[in-house]
Amino acid sequence: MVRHIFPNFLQDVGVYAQTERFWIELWNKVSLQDVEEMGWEQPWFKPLPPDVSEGNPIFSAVSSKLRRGIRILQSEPTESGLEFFAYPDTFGGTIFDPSAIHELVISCALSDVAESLAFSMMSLWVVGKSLSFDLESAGQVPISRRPPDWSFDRIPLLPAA
Amino acid sequence: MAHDGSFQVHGVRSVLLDSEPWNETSPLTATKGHELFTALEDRVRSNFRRDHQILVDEGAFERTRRFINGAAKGGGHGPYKFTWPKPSRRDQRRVDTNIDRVMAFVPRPGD
Repeated sequence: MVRHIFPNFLQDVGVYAQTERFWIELWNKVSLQDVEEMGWEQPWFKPLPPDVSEGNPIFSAVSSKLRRGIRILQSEPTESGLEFFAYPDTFGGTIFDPSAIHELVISCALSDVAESLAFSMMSLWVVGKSLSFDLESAGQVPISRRPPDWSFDRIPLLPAA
Repeated sequence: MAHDGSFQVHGVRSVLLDSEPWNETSPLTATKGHELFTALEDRVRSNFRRDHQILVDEGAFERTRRFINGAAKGGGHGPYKFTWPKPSRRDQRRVDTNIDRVMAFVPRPGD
């Protein structure tokens, strides 16, 4: 079981705005020094009205210095357990294109555990570190916080930064 | 200045099945966006039946069309990326809409 946060964010524009603020506040907990040094800006994409974007993304940030971006896609919960999936992607070109932005994409239903996971991944991504998208073996989530249904697909890693 | 972007259909593990890019001297209209996207869907339906059906069941093509219409209602939109399905499938099949530079999905004059 996880504790869901703003589960009805798509049903109420006021709750949607609170959810957007939640992600910005989480972003603000990332080291300000790291964010400034690496030239991160948020939002990356100018937000669209909630009925158009539907949390897609609910949060975005970009660093032109690192050529990296973060995009968070939030969904309403569909079960009582953790719903969290992260994958690498690119924007503005393929992975081989030097002008492309390398993205960390997080798709989740917002919960206490999803928040913790997202923060861990963002904190590494903002400083240019490589990420293992197999979080179990990366050991980023303490065993005590892993729900019983914890699982991740193994997907290819980005080249080390 | 180039107004460019693309629609992309990804299969298992993010493999790019097909895409429909645009590169225009003026903002892509929503009408033209629908035309390009329909052409892409037609090809995917023909060449990747199973992937197409899964993405249809996920509402990916429908939601992308809704996104184009929504962006047009606001007069078009600048750089953006819209991905469906949401939540993401663990096999990473998806449809991405990338507005890479400047502006896309503007309403056609008179619309």
